[in-house]
Amino acid sequence: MHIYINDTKLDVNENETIIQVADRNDIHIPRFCYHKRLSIVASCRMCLVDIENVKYPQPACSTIVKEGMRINTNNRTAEAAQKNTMEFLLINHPLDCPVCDQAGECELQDVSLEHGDYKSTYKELKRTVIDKNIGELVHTEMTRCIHCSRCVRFGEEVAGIKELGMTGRGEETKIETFINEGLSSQLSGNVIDLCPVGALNNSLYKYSARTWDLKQMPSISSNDCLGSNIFYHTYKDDIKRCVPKEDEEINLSWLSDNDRFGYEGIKSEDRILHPLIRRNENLEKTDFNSLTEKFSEYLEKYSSGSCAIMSAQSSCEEMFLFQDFLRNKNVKKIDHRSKECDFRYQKNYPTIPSFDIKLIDIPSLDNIIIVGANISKEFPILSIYFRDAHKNNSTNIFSLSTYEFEENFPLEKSEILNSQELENYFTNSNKESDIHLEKSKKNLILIGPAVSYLCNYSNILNNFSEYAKSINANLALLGDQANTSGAWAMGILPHRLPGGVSIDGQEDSYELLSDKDDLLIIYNLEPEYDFSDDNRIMDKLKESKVNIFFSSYMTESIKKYADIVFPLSTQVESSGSYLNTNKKLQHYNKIINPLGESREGADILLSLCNTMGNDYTYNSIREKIRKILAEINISNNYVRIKNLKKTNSSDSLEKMIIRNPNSSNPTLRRCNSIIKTHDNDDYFSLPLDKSVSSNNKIIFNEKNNQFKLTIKQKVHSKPVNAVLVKIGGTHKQKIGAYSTEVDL
Amino acid sequence: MNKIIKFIKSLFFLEILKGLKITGRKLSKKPITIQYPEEKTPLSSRFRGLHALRKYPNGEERCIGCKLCEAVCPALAISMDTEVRSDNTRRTTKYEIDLFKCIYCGFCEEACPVDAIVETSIFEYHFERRKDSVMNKIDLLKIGDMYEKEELKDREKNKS
Repeated sequence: MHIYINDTKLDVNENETIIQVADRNDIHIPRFCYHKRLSIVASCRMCLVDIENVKYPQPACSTIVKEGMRINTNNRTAEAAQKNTMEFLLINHPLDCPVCDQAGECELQDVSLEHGDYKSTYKELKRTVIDKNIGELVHTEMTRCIHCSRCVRFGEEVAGIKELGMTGRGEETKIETFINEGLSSQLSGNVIDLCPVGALNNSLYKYSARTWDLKQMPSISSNDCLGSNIFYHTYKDDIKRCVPKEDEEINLSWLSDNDRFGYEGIKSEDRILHPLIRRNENLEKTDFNSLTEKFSEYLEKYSSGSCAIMSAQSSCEEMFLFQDFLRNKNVKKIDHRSKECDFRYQKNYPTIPSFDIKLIDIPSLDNIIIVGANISKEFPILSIYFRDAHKNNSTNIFSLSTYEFEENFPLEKSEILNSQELENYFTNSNKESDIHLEKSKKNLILIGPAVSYLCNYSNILNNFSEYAKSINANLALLGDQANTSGAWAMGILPHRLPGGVSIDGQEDSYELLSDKDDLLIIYNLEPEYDFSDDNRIMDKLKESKVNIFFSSYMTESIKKYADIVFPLSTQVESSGSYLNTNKKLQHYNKIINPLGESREGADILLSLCNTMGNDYTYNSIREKIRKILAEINISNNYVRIKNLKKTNSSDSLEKMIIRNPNSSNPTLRRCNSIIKTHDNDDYFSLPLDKSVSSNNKIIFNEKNNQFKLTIKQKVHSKPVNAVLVKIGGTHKQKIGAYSTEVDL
Repeated sequence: MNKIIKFIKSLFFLEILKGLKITGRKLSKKPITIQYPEEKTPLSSRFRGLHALRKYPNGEERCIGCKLCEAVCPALAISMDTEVRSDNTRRTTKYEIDLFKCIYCGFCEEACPVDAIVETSIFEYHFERRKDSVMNKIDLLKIGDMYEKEELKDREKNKS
């Protein structure tokens, strides 16, 4: 099929619209309401084009091509139509471009310059709209709105939460929230990019720079294991904002709020800016040389009794160097699974836990079972794919979880279970409510990272793997942190070297926080928030002879227990690579210079490694990592463990940690605006053996620390008598231990 | 032959008399030079001299920190930082003009959407230290306060 645009002959497919053809062939047609990933409404009338033998100009975004169509985008009719539309759009648009943050990248500005008139015949007063406060992240200036409805359609079609809507008619039309509440969707920041004018703005960026001054630098998100592609915009060595970089395989045109606003924490007051060493009970400033000397000295002394725990947010380069250095120093206990407490599965785990299928293949699946993950909160980008799958392929999505939450895509079935019930969900064959999936269909079982916090994680993994195998399903293992897959591949494990090479002589009864260690090395983790049991780790810190921290931020426990603190730069201040959940290695570069005297983790580790006579360089490490990853070959993700003991049902009183994606790493914990917006309604569930009324107060004894918690509501009947408890404060993971007494 | 005539002419100081003829002519006319510090030439109302930041009659500074002057400045003499002021408006935290870099082209004045930055008719100023050449926001606002009346007069003249 052929059509002619401005007398150029173009190949087209059936059912394409004119604007799609024009975009593909770089023919410019002005538009406001049209967006390639949203539905077509043809409401702005900016894309009017002249079609031969058609009486009036037609909107290019909604007109479907026909054989031999002759279209003119810039003849007199089309231009007159565009000029008139532009005049109408500008009737109510304020001329406040000098203070508007959109100025310079404003579609209205550009189109007005190109297609508008220099004068207006409108002499009456302009309309003003009173702004509603819609949260900490998006700042509104609704007088500027031109009612393109992109933000409304985004909420309905992509984010799945209809938060913004159009109310009123004609002059009274307004875009606003129906109820006076802020945006709650984890994808809410995308309306900022979608807005063609300056009506919806980035609150953090507000008035701090102008668009033409910004420098754009590509990077990779450090907040979830999908590895969204992003652009940081910097001005004078300072990050001003973050926007999505289009990637058809991962984040499409979207970005989650964590990624978009997650850089706020790097300027926190807690940042450690100097190398610190403990002298006379106090941490004092020193230089890197004396730190490395002291560190090597301690390692010589205590090497056999040391334990090194690294964050899975570190880059692959850091991980490789970290384990290489420590293994050469004879440190055997190296791990990244600080939040886990059941390690019986580790020998049978795949070398790289991954999503197993490509994200773009999700919409072609027939059934998806989500186990213990609140996808729309923890992996907002993934929820877009799931929504798409349900919409276009009517995929059945089931959710099995330990606590109640909402998803932004329809669930076929949602069950709330305690960890024992979850373990036995597919093994009890006589149960009627079981999910029945056919072997011939395309099935996926997705194990969320929160499941790994449970004390019967191995059993759950084993049982779900068995079930997945029986129904021929793929098993997706989602990582807790940005580089969890990388941590497994790079051997940040007690039982494996890089590339998944097993080490002999590892006991089965491995426990990370159990036995005493003389030397503790904690890399980019905060003892208060990042461990499965904060009491145990505190005890360990107290008991060990030397504690070495690599950290970007100062916390109470570091102040109290650290002997050496290496100041670490944050992800945006360093270069490296992340292995995402689809086993895609993505490199990122330094965006801004490290604050103070802090240094890139890879730099510190390189110099440490090279003191032992290695001559590693950054490039040689990259080459090594590439080689290691090229050799790994995994057919499936099934984790099947022999001779696994069933979990005893009498240990049923168990506190479950709700994985909080908005404070899952040290930088995110310091992003105040994200915490205020998304972190304010967090509950954790607590099964009780007594019945409770909603007025009771629970006193929660965790050794000597007492937490007083008021019961918010008694939500689920399953597990029996579980209550959802609202936790105050910003750092939710603070309460994160097992075997807790509950007084009523 | 010519040399001899030249020599004879030089004996009568003819060149000097020629020069004195012009001097004599100008003696009777009004002089065009002025006694500078005491006397001054009239300035155009569009003269581009020292910069000033103006305020509104209610005392509010005009500058909204749009950075258009910074963007248009061909000599890169202007630099500024902006912030959200407590009343939610865009304001500058830093506004600096390096007068050594400035070429007094007046583009900043033309670009300003709120007539905040202007070039006054002041042209007599000096710096005693090198860093004094960088005028900051406080200095510029002070000049604006001092020369607001003159500025308004100049603007009135420019209108007609």
